[in-house]
Amino acid sequence: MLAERTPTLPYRAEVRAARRGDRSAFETLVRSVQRPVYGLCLRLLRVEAEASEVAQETFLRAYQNLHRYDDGKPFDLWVMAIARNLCLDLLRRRSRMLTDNVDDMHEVLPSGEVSQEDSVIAGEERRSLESALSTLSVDDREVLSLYYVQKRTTKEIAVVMGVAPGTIMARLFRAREKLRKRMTANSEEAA
Amino acid sequence: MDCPDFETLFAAQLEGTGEYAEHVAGCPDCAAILEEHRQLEKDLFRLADPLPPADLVARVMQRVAAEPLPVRAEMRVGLSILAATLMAAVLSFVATRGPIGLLGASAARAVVAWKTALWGLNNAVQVVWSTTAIPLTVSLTLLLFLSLVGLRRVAPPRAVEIEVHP
Repeated sequence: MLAERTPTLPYRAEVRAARRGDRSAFETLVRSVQRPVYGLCLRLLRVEAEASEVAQETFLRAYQNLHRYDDGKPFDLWVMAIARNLCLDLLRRRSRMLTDNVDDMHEVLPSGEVSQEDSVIAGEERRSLESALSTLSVDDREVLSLYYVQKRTTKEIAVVMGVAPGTIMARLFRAREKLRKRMTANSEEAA
Repeated sequence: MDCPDFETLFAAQLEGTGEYAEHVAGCPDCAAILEEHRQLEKDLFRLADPLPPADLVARVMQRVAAEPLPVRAEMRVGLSILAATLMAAVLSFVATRGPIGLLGASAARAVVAWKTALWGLNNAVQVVWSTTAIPLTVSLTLLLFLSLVGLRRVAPPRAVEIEVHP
């Protein structure tokens, strides 16, 4: 399990510069956190175009509300919380709920570029894991993706999700147990 | 064999209490499920976030360029607060129905009281200065010097800022 890290506050200088009107500083911030933000959006929404649109909207909202951001707290978590809320709003508005073809996800999560990294597991194994993961509920996908994919601590996840840190390990266990059952069922079907 | 609830089993494993270690060692079902969870965790940790579209930053910055600067937004908030305060002040003057009103009278009384106190303080300083100017200057300079030396000793060495980007 991940050890709880001492909170560090990167991006502080960029946030201050952006507040003073330095747009290039804001661009640096966007570049730094675009991957986890887009990753979370895609895990929750499961549609690339929507994830991209929501990620853009997230950064725009962050820019518009920079004066409200408390720079004693991590900037990336603040942006992730905005992204999460926008995703949940969109999911609530969606008329079609969880009826997407999960095969779409095989091609988009994760992208080919990362497969060259040492940490990425073999394609077939990854696809079956992604496939099972995408059939879970939004809450389960979110907690698993923040903890395992983004390597966030339970405290950080609690900040993004707006829940008590003490509940995260139990949520993780339940989500993982559901995933295990899906994986077992899928492999039995395949056999 | 009575197997414990898996959530309890995992919590015990996480806390390292070893409460169910004996049970797991003797129960192939529990041992197998625990192993499946461990393997699943390993695989999950190896997943990575997808790369965002190449034009995401450009699109964001295009939309940001159309927005007013954040400084101006802060100024707008400040001006709104100022306007609201002025409005509240005008309303309170009007509500008291007098030419200046109760609020104005109390403000004027406070100014007069402060003026008297400041005059008194000024007189006292002048008296002290006219009698003990040189010893006072020497003592204050010495006090300032000692304080600066003390502060320099107490202050920690300048910290090196390290920015950690995930």
